[in-house]
Amino acid sequence: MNMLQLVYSASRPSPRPQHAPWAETSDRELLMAVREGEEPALNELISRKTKPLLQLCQRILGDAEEARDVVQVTFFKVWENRRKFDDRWSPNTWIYRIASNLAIDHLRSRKSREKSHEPVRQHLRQVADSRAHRDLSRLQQTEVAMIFRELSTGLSEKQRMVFLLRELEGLSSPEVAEILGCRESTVRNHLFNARKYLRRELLRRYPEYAGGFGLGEAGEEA
Amino acid sequence: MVNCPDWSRLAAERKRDLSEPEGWAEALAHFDSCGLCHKEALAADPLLVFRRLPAVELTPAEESLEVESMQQAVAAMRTARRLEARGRFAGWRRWAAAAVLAAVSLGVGRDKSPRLQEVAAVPPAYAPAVQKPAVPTIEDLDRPGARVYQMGDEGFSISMIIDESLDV
Repeated sequence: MNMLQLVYSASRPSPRPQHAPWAETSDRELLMAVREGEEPALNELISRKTKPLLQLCQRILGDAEEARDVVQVTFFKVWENRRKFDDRWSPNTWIYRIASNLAIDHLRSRKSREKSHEPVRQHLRQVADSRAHRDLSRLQQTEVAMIFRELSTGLSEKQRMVFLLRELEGLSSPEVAEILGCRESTVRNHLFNARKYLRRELLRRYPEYAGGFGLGEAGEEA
Repeated sequence: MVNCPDWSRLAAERKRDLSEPEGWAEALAHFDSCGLCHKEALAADPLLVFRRLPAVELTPAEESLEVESMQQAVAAMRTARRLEARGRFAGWRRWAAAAVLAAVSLGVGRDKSPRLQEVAAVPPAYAPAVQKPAVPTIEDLDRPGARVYQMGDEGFSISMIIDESLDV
């Protein structure tokens, strides 16, 4: 190393101290690093949370592409609002809250351009007619998704969120309450009403599937 | 050996108090993996069908691609925001420069006015001429009949005092 190189290396600012490998840090530590503006920490957060958030948003929105858009904006919002993160909060709850709010906004904006669901029902009836055994246990994932998308338009955004977070994502009532910014009793009310509505509408609109259980239109009531 | 749960009992308990009965989590795990008791479970609680909403199932390679594209998309959004902020700042600077120029030009225009006012406030040059003459006035002479004449200008002046009582 000649003198010029020595001078150059001496005058060059020392590189930032290497953080512990991000893969080994907890979600909380990761968010604290993101709060300090550490971009690699954001990338690690993206690698950890992309799949669960995609799943949640896909279930809320019923569309993979829209879910991807919402998740992208979620991570962007996490970065933009990183200084607001309080280390007393649960990282998951905070991120889910951002994602849920964005998904709800998306649902609201979609409502105005939502088309009639009649084609969905026609398709499902054709599928049902083409099968010898028509029952819920034989429905395919895409069909379940179409039915949920249709029925859930009758739920309020909060009811839909509570049903998904509580019933399908397996979060606890306190967690759901924190994500949605409401009380636990409100979560329970939303869940009760969502279940009641979905059960009633499922059996009313798709009696062909309920027939397999010996349940008629009035056979099941919440 | 598969132990299929008693779905009727679980669903009834769940419906009654909305809380999760003991063994519910295990029952759900069983529902997801066991095809034998689906029909019974769905008869007890038709809403369980929504557990079959599509889940995001990605192979490690697909997940890696998904994460990478997500990271790139978020980085692009952050870059766009930075550029937007920079553009806003540049716009703000242009406006600020215009405002400074306007203020300076106004300031120059306004500078003149105080000067004019100051000049106007200064007594005119001829003001000393109306000052009281150094010559004693007739009142100072205490002689009602006396008259004072003054001639000449700066540097040289003649004052004449005429009074009938004076003997010239």
